[in-house]
Amino acid sequence: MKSFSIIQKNFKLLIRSKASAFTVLIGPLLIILLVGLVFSGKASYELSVGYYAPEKNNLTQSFVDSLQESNFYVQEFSDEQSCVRKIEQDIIHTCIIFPEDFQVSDEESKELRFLVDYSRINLVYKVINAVSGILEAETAELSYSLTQVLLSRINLTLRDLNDDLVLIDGANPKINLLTLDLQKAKTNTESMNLEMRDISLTNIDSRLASLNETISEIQEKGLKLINDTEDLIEDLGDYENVTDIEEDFEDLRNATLELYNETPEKVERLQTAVKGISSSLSKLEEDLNKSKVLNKDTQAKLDSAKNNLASIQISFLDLKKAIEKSKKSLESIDVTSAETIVSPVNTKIEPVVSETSKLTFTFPFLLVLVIMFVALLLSSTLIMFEKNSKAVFRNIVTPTTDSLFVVTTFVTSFIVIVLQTIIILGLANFFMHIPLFKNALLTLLIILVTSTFFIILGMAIGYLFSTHEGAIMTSIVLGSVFLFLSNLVVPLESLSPFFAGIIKYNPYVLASELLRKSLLFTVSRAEAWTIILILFGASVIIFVLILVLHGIFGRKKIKEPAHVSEPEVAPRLALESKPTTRLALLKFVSNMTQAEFEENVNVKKNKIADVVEKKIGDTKLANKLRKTVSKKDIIKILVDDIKKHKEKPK
Amino acid sequence: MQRAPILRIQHLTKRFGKNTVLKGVSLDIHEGEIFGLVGASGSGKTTLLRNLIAYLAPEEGDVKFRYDYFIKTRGKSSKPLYASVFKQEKLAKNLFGFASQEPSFYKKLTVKENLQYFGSLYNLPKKALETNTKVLLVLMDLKHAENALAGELSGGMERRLDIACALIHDPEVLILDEPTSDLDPLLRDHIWSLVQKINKKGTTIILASHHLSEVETFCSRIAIIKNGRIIDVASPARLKTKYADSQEIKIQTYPGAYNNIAKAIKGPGSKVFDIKIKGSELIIYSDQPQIVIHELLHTLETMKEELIDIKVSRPGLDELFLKITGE
Repeated sequence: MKSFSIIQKNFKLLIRSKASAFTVLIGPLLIILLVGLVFSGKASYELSVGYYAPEKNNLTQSFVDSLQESNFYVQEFSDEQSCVRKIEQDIIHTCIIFPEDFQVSDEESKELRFLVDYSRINLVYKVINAVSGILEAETAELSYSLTQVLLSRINLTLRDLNDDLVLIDGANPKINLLTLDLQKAKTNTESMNLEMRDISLTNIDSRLASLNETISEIQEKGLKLINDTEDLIEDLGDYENVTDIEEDFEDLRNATLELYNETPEKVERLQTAVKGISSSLSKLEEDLNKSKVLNKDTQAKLDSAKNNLASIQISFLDLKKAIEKSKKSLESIDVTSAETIVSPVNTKIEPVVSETSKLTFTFPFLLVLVIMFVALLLSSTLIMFEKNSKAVFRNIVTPTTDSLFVVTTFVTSFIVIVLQTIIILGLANFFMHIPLFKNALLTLLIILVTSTFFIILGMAIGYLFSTHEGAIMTSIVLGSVFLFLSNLVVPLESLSPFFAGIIKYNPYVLASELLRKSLLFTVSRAEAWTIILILFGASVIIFVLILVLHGIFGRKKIKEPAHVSEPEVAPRLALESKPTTRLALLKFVSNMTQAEFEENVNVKKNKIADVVEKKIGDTKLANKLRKTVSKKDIIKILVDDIKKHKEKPK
Repeated sequence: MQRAPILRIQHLTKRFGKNTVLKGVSLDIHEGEIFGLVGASGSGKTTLLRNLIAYLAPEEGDVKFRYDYFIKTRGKSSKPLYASVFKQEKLAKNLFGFASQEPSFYKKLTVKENLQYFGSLYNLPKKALETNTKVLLVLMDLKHAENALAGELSGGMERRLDIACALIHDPEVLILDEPTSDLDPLLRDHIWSLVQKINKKGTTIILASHHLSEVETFCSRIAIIKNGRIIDVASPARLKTKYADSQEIKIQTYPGAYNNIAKAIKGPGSKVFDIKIKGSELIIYSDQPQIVIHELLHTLETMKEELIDIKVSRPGLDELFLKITGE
């Protein structure tokens, strides 16, 4: 009953205090709504990129196009300085300076310069990553096309080398044949007998003379034969058939005579022919001698040609080996894809969870953030409500234990935060499709323990501080410190190991990391329970400290009466008793400060008129005074009345 | 025959650091009386009252209350049983209702909600709580404002609500710390009539007040406290008899050169004991007021002071208090 009444009272106070209700109850829902809208998109940052290109060409245009295709706002500048000025004015986020004559060539490599504002510490790295990523992609594409050309050339060369090898292989047997032919030619040349036997023409002449004498002798013997035969025939005298034989012999003798007559001419002609042959033979001999010399020369040249061929054959073999080596070398290039050469290692970032919305990943941090701030602010506010309320004295003088107030404050805060969390989770699940039921029990437990911890911490702040402002400021500062030293702002891994080791026990880090893992992955029981126990243990310790501190200092929150300088009764309090005459009242009113006057005389009341009516007994004057709330008018009325009474003294 | 005290304050000493605020205070408070505690600022009135309800613990001494009220022997036992408020704090808190100088309730709750909330803290059954709330709303003339937020009430209504909150559990003893401070005469009268009504219902009332004239009127007994010590405890009449050895002449003149008048009338052989200028009045103390008034009128004529008002009376508790406390 008591607990219920106190919690009910806490809720009424919270709801009826409009500013607190808005800040603590509505504020977090608005924050989540806004953050949801902000982070729900999957688009990259809308960055403004300026660029200055002294010479515009296809290459610069391709870079600019890439940036525009990536939804960057791209603005061209006529010079570097104006681009830099726009960065300083925060109009653009980065400036890209293209070099002069920005082209791909074998000359010195071209340098693209980024100008960024490092004072935008939270943005600069995102800008660099985003823009340089796109430019690197563009550069890689360029590199890819160049490599593609290079590779196709290598392939062509390989093909040519293969053809060359075939040709070399075909040339070798031909060289062998040629060598053989040369060998044969040489053999033939060597086997040629160009020596001329000695032909004696004198002998021929003597033989021709002998032949001529023989022929003359044959002629003479023929003629003798013929004459003997004719004598024979004539001796045979009248033999009937001797006439025919005689005719035949006559013909023979005529023929022999004709032959005999022609023979010297023919022998002469023969002699002439022999003489011609003799001169031809002389010439032939001369030629043969020349041929002999040439034959020797030819043989030498054939030898040389043969040697050269052998040498060529060796060269061909060496060439073949060299070509084969080059071929092998070219063939030994394993990576033949231009894409692979340009990007030998492909980086593919794959989410370990299917969700792609940024909010899904940010949600655990935001939820714990809301729980943290609401818990700190709400619990400290509730404590300050009590501490600063005048009603706290009455609470203390009732037979209610202090611990019950502490517990009910906790329960009130806990109910508010749990309700808020349920609403947030419901909205998140319904509108943002945040997966809540993966580890539902663990998620619930984390939320409850986190809420408990921060509520108790906020209560401790409330009890430690004497003013609402102090408690609120401390809550905000503490929450901000927790937030700042967390992964949501700066990755802990980037801090020094010493600080990172301490900061990893930041309750916000513990809770948000565990909630993130719980919502997105599967958390090991050991890890989950360790963190839960740390938070719970810390909560218990702080709670005990609160009870102890509340027991020790709880009643000090009531201002003790001033023992020496209790304020005197204010003049206005004496108004009713002190001035019992018009003159005294006039003096009293004249001595009043404006604040005192306004407290006594206003649209609701007129204590001066009351005094006049009750103490002086002048109702008419009192009614006159009631018609005004001006000090000046009241003094004037009183002065006039005093003058009037002077004229007519009682 | 006087009934046994409902409350016995025994040798109470309370220190705040090196400052001893109460120095061996001993008092008995009787059932059904309106007991007034009178003292200058810082004399220890509020500290004493807060010790009674165990809000502050004394360094020495004790405060005992009628324990038999809580063990159903009231009226049956011939001998009253007492228990220390510091040892039986919970029971003692049920015995007392306390209305401090500043109203102590939630301004964001309505009148009725405040009453019901504080009633619930005394573990009152729902029916009793409803009944007490209704009775108090009527008694304190707050019925018409039961659903108004406490922060929107006027000063008098706030004070009445505060007293109502102190009475919600129907305490045996109601402690009022400066109940009429900050209130106009009408409201003060209203509060005093309420105090009397409450007292008539049988509630013992202990109050501290600056308005000594009111205390004189309404309290059956008065304790005068100075520097943490009780100087005297008696009824107002008894105190007046005991300490009043002169009468006071209060005059108001125009233009009111009171310092000159005082010098003129307090010469050698004068019957004037003392002269004080208080606000717009000149107060002259004397055991022979007729002689003094005669001299005074002569002086005023000589000084061309116009007499506006003149009163002769026995000194009030204010003056007695100053005399008793030597201030």
